[in-house]
Amino acid sequence: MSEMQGRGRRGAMAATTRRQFLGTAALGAGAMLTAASSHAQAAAPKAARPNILFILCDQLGLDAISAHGCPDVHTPNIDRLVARGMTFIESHSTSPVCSPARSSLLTGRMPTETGVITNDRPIHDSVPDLGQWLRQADYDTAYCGKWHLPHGYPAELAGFRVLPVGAAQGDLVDEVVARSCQAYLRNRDRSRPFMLVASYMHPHDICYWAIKGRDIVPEELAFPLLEGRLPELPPNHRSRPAAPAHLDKMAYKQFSDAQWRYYLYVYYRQVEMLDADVGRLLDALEDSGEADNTIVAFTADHGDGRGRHQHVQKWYPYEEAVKTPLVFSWPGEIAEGVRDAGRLVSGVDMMGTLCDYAGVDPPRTTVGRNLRPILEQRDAPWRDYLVFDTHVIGRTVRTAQYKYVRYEGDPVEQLFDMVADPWETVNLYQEARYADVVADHRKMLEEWTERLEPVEPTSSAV
Amino acid sequence: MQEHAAKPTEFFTLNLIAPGLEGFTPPDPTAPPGETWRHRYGIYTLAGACNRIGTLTLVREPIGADRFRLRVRTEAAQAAGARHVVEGAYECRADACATPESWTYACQSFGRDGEPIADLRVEGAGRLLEGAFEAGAGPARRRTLTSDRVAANWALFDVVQRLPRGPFPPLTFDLIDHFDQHKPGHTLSYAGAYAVLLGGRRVGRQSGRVLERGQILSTRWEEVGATEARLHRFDQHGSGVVPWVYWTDDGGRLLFVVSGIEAYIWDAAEEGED
Repeated sequence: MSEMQGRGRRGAMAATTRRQFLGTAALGAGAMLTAASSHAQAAAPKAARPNILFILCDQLGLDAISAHGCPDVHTPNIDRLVARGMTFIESHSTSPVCSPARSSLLTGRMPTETGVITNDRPIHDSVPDLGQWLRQADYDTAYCGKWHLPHGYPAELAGFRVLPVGAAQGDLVDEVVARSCQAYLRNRDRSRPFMLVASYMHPHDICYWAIKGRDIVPEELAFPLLEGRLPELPPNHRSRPAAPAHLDKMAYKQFSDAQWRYYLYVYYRQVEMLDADVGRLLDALEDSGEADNTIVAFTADHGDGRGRHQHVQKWYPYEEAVKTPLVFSWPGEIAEGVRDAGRLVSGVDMMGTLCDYAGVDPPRTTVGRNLRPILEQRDAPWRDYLVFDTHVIGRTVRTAQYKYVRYEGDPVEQLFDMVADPWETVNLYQEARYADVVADHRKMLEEWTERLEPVEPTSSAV
Repeated sequence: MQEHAAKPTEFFTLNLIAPGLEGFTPPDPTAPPGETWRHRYGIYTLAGACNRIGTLTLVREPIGADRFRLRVRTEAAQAAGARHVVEGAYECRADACATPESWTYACQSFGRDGEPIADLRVEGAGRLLEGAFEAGAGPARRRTLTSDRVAANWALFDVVQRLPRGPFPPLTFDLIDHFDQHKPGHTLSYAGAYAVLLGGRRVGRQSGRVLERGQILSTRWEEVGATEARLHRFDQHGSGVVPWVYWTDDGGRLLFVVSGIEAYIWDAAEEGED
């Protein structure tokens, strides 16, 4: 039981700087029992270039946290991040699929421009990622957790030091992510600012509840004491608005209502597991004394079906799959406790925003916007519409009032009035009175597409 | 309990680990674990079939008549040949919840070369106070309010071995998960006895029929060498966990634990080793 004793301790001491050691020693034994909000080290003065802690979750829907109104989950740690920063309610994935969405978050380009049009593909060699870009600016860049561009857990990355993790799912991975990031924040060389990406797996595990179906969600509730304590079905659970044939086939038919409710129960427990590991990270940042000099960015690659439109997982343009949390926090710099429910924002905006805070121009080809003026509550013109990919099968235009979807190789289009019908239950595209709206959105899509600089899709490596 | 013993595939959660139970040799149910024991479990991920990724070792040592120490070690393979090890110890009351009074832990990542990665180590400690617990890594600790009854996740592996193997009023408690995470509102209850065929192997018996232009072969699969065991199921659910299902044998020894796609299977071959 003792392989670690001695060896690791010496290593940790070797990595502790003299300044850290003196700081810790001065606190003495009494400090070991300081209560709730005390910090291990005095807050450092504000640095010109802040540290960046980028927390990336997998399959976390926008409204799957209690701070965004979900009554079925308790997420005190993500909520405290929301309370101390700005949260965007009209936040969209660039493509509701893991690898494409991640490629955009890390490059500021759309999936057709990164070459990652579907899962298990690498970012095109010509496209720099956030790690490569900020490492050139002398940031200490580290990555821990799911990568999926193409491999889930690579041993090495060009732009990041990789903190090793992987080989399983869910809590078995996320605990290691949290612990390794805790250790990194505590022990790192403080001569340079850091950018740490903590990439959690939860609540992506819910995919396996759909894959395993009745084997893991029995027809009869397996836990009788949960009777009466399961989440209600969403109001659009049975809604199947007119859609292309392939989308119709994606309705998940294996579950009864009771099974769906247990599926939701499990999903929200997985979100709570994620929340606990986010808490470890936020605590570690506070304990490091660097919270006041650190921007925390929190988001997810995409959401989960959660029974809306009878969907599981992602892959489609509906809100449950596309909307993700997007929260930024930097004490004293970014507005606190602000909820922006008007601006249309996207994962493609991450790169330009973090580059600005790091004092670096983003790559020339970045198509995302810089959120910094918004985060600091300065006036700035903002986009009137936003486009995201619907995996490889189409593109979606989102304006303040409408969502318009055009599919490749299928005549069925979709138009939803997101103000009158936020649950996306009625497809309006064939109603004559919306012909002009459809035409306008088609034009926006054409304009957007013309501005893209696509690259050759990269090859699947898995 | 059902009249005839059935294969693991017939029981919720055992069905998920059934591939990992092929060849499983159950320990002697007439030799219960007692006060002092050392158990090893394989750690499995059930995302695909049932793949072992590591080992959990638990050592229980009495401290006087009413307390005990529980030493914990998990070692799990990470990608590209790396490993992650967590070592910790709780001092617990020998009560219904194995109430943890104090604990320490250390987490260490190891690289592909097998050596510890110097800056990827974190240590922490915690202790239970009146209506709260203090825990954390590093010099700063956080105090968290709890209900009156508290249990630690790994100590529940001891608790279920001492529970009545029959109906009892559900235990309710706040969970301290993995040494520092507070997860309130947990319930542990008895969920019945089941006769299960363990340790069988799936064997195919082939028969053929010779025809004029060749032969037709058919395979009949059957379970052989299985042992009938009476297992007891306990369920735990609450905030921040996918429900846990614990399976003990008739002597109380904890054999299997399944939480969603994470599982622990008693490792008969390694019991007693350190």
